[in-house]
Amino acid sequence: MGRRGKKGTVTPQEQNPSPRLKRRPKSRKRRKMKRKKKNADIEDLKKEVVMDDHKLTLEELSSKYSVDLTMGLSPEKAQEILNRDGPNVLTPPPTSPEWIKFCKQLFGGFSILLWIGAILCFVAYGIQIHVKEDVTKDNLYLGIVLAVVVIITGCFSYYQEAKSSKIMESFKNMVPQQAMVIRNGEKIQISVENVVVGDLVEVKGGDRIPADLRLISSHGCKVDNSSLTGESEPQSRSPDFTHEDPLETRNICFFSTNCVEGTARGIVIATGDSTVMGRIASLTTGLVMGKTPIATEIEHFIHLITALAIFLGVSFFGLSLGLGYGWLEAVIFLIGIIVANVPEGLLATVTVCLTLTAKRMARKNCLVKNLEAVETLGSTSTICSDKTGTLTQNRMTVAHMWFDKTIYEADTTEDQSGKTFAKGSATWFILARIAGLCNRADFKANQETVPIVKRATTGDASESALLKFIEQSYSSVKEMREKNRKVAEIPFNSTNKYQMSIHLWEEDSQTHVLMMKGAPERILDFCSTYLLNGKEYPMDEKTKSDFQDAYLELGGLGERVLGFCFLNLPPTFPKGFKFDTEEINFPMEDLCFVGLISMIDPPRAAVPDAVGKCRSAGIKVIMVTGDHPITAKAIAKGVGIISEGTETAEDMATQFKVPINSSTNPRGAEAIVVHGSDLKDMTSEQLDEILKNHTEIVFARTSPQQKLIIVEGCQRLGAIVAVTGDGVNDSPALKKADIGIAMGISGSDVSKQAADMILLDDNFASIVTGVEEGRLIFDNLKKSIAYTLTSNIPEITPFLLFIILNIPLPLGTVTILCIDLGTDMVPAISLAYESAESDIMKRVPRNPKTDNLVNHRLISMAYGQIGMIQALAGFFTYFVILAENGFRPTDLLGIRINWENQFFNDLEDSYGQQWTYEQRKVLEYTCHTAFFVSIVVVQWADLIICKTRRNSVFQQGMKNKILIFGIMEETFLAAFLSYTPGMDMALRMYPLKIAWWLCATPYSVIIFIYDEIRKLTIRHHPGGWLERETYY
Amino acid sequence: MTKKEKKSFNQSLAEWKLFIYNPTTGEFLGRTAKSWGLILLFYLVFYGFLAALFSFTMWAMLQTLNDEVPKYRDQIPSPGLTVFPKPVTALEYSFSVSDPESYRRYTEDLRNFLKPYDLEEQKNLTACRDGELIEQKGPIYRACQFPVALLEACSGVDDPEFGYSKGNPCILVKMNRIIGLKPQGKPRIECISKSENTAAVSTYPPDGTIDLKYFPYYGKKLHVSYLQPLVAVQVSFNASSSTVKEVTVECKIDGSPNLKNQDDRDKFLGRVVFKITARA
Repeated sequence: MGRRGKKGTVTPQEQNPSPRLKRRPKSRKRRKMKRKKKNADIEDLKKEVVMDDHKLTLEELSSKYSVDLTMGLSPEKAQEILNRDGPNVLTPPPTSPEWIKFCKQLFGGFSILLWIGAILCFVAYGIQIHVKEDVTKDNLYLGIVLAVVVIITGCFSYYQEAKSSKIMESFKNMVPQQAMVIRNGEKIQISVENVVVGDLVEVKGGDRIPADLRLISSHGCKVDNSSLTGESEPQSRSPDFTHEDPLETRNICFFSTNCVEGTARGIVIATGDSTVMGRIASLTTGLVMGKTPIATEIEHFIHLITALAIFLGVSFFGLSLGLGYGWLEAVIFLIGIIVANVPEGLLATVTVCLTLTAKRMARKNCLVKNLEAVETLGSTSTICSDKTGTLTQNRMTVAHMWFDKTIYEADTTEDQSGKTFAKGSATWFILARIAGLCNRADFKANQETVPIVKRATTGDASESALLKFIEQSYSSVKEMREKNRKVAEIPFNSTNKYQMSIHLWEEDSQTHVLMMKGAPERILDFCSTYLLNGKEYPMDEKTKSDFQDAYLELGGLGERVLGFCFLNLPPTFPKGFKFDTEEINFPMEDLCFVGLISMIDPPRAAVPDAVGKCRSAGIKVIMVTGDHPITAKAIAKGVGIISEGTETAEDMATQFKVPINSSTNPRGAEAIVVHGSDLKDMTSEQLDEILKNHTEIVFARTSPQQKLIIVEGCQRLGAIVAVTGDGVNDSPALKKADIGIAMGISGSDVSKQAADMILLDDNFASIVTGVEEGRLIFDNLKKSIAYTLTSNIPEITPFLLFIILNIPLPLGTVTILCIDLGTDMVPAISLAYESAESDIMKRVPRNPKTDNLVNHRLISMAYGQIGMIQALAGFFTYFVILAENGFRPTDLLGIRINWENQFFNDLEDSYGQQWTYEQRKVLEYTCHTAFFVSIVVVQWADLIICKTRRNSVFQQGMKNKILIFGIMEETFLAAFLSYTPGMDMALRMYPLKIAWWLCATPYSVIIFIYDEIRKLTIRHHPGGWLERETYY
Repeated sequence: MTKKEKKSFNQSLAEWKLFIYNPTTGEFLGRTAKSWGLILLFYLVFYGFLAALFSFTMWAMLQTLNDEVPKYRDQIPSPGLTVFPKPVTALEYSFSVSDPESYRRYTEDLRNFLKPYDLEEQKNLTACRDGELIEQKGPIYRACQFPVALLEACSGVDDPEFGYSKGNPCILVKMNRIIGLKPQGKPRIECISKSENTAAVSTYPPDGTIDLKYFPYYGKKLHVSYLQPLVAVQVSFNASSSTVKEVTVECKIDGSPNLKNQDDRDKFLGRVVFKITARA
């Protein structure tokens, strides 16, 4: 509970003063300025990265960092810089010390109410001691019990959170990273934290980039920037300056991203917190968190209860003064009434209910870091989801093929349960050969038992996709490659945009075949014929336009399309011929076009269904991705974020053949795809406008900062926002969101730190379970609270009537505690296991402003109606016992003064018998016990009616076994407390006659019948008066 | 106190005002008159029904009760012992021999208490045979006479000051009334002085005997004008002691096996301890 707040209040500067800041004099004035500056810093961090190193020439770069581009820094210089800038590490998010976390648990939210209660008790006891020596210790004990309850519950929830943090810890990868630097011309391995600005660094495939680098040379270097930008595709890196935006330009590598293949050299331009990654991490720590919805609800509840307690207390304070009690007595009454309103057991109940749900969610792969976040997902009205990995499988898969002038669909499901295609065609035979042979990807060793789709591969994503596809649907690529040995190849590069390899046709044949794959338009340029059903035909315009159509169609699906062609080399190139790929000594024209294969990172199987469920649950799903708009839109359509039939403004424009931005009204379209560059120029009003007017929104090409802006925009509109993400780039948004959801498998540590919840299986569908559980627990907490609060009335009224009517006290402190902390506990918790009354995923998310956890209707029901019946049941039992023992109700009024007088030992009852003080006290305590038992009896009925808020119990059934156990448990506990020998000494509870158990049963039945009638009326008159006044 | 807070205070004040009475919607405390009317009517009907239900169950319960004898008597199996004059805050009697005002409350209390024991009052009561229980079947239940003369020096007949003026105060000890109680054996009240060298204790009737003829008791309604047997305790201080004389007296029921005089919790069950302080 506490963690969130703490994170928000400490800014990175405060926690980890950088050397420069340290030098500042720490006067008060300065500090104020510093705070202002800090806020400015945060705003600053939200802006885009400003950097010009990528625009510099190598000479400028060399002079800027005063480093030799071949020799690197001298070790002395490096040491000097290291001393100046500090180590190259991200400052970890400030974690509050354990004891502060513990104190947060102890004094946060609900606990404070109990603490105030405890303090009031001690005050009352102090006053009593001060006034007269011989006092009952009730107030002292009550104070102690309250304190103990808070401490135990505090320890419990602290333990719970500590446990989930421990699971977090285990995620951390503690392997120390090494970096290869060149200093004084020597290559040395040093620990990453010793890398300094200006260092010449060498990276190779598999390395983690040790700092922000400006490349000076590279060899086929590709980096995976997904953790920073969210783009799943590895990007090639070279020394050329290609883009104004430092995030897009080719010559910059970023700290903590991965080098996938190739090698590169670069100059370090930033280290530690000043790297792009570091700035994002700082931005994350600098964000101020809002309260969780449930914390707000509990606060609201505390306000209600406190107002009620003070109102009751003060009115009875006045009344008791009017009745002639002394000031001190009246103050004691005041405190007593206020404390009696504190639901002692509720804190524990709420904590246990949330814990149970958190456990249940953990079993369904949602690990909740923050107990209060359990409910937040239930209140969520907007989900901003990442694309890669969450909605998609995060692996390129072949989706479509085009050959024989037909588009075939490949099987993209995770378990390969989809349909097959025309495998009989001779064209397919050739296509499969090219895809398998002209392919540098390979399976890693020792994976024979792993299903093909799950096998790890080397090589880039598209080649791996082809490899797996061929292995799956054609035959073993390994055998194929053994049979058709590769004799020469030209690897793919971004200038020629194709890949070519030459193989032997068959092992024993003498002829070679040239195979080529690459960008479709490039491939087509090479071809003069095409293959149809295994036969070559000369290329004609019709085929070209067919090709164009197919290419456009597949591209429009957001898929990456590759073209394939081949050429049977004439026998003039026999076996053993030396093919020279530098100076080409073989024909590379008039090839035969075979077909197209397109690939996509396909959506996860469960996602469309989950998105559908979200939609029917009234939750808006927004896709926020760094990917291209077309791909984003295709996936959005695939998973239903943009539903079938709705069209974006662009679609409408193309349909009506008009340019966008002119005649079509963008508001007319429900769906919209917003490009990051457009978003950059938008004012927050414009963004609000978009978020308000479109139901289906996709943000493409967004930067981490923009993700944050989107989340803030949604929150401005009053939505409770859930954000999913796995990369470091997502962490500010995760932190800012009402509930941040990180990915357990693919997620980075930073994102897991910032999140409130972790999806252990990275599956969007798990969020839906989370939403369901969250909504259920909100409903069930309502029921639990309604149940617990109800018994407050039979607990308070005895004291009130004791004051007003001067009757012997019908219910004492000990018995009240027995109810609140004993018998009521298990039944209240059992309501957390109650199943939903209706399909909770078919209603809109609750409105956090109007749909409160505890509202006046709940209080009115619990206190005004059911509680009153319960109180009458208790009083009836009380009067029965006193009357049957000789004190008739009429004789009890005003008896209090004598009854309480210890030296009045011959108090006469209605029959002329005389009672000593102790004898009538035993009778009184017997009444307390009976009143207690009566409350248990009426709470049976209360528990059953609290199972449902609208349905009849007969519709809901009694399937909740824990609840049945709860009823038994409370009954046995009550009997145990009453009948165990020695209880008269320990708790002053006395055995009851069986008949006295029955006194409350008519009232129990009345409660049940009354509530069934009420609910029946509500069901038959939806929206009627009774629903408006009593449906909580 | 910054400006901002003040403003928000004014705002919240305005909000409160609007909550108390909103002229545009005519809402008072968040409800319109009609809404208030309906909810009050609902609760009126609801509580009316509850009151009726409660009254009915109470009435039904009262029907099951017997007017003469309570349903259960197991809560008071054994009688307590109480003293007269009635103690106020603690069982301590303190007076000054020379100052009649200081003991007037005690003597008045005793006189009042003994009024029903006047000879005149007892005229209609039966003179019962000593030494045996008088079990009656009704319909008329007799009450036995308790001649006040049995209390001898403490009867108030000879000495209306009950010995207080002489420094030998009288305290009356009685057993609580319990319906149907039949003491076994020969019950008597035995009183001892905790400090024998300062004061001696004498009991009337001699030995503190309680006659069985006053048992069993049949209750206020049947056993009209029943008189409880009494035992008087007179304390006589030794002349030699100082001006402030103090004595603690302990009395308990003795000689009857079914009347308890020892209970950890109940200090008055079959016993009573009181302290007398007499000044010159």
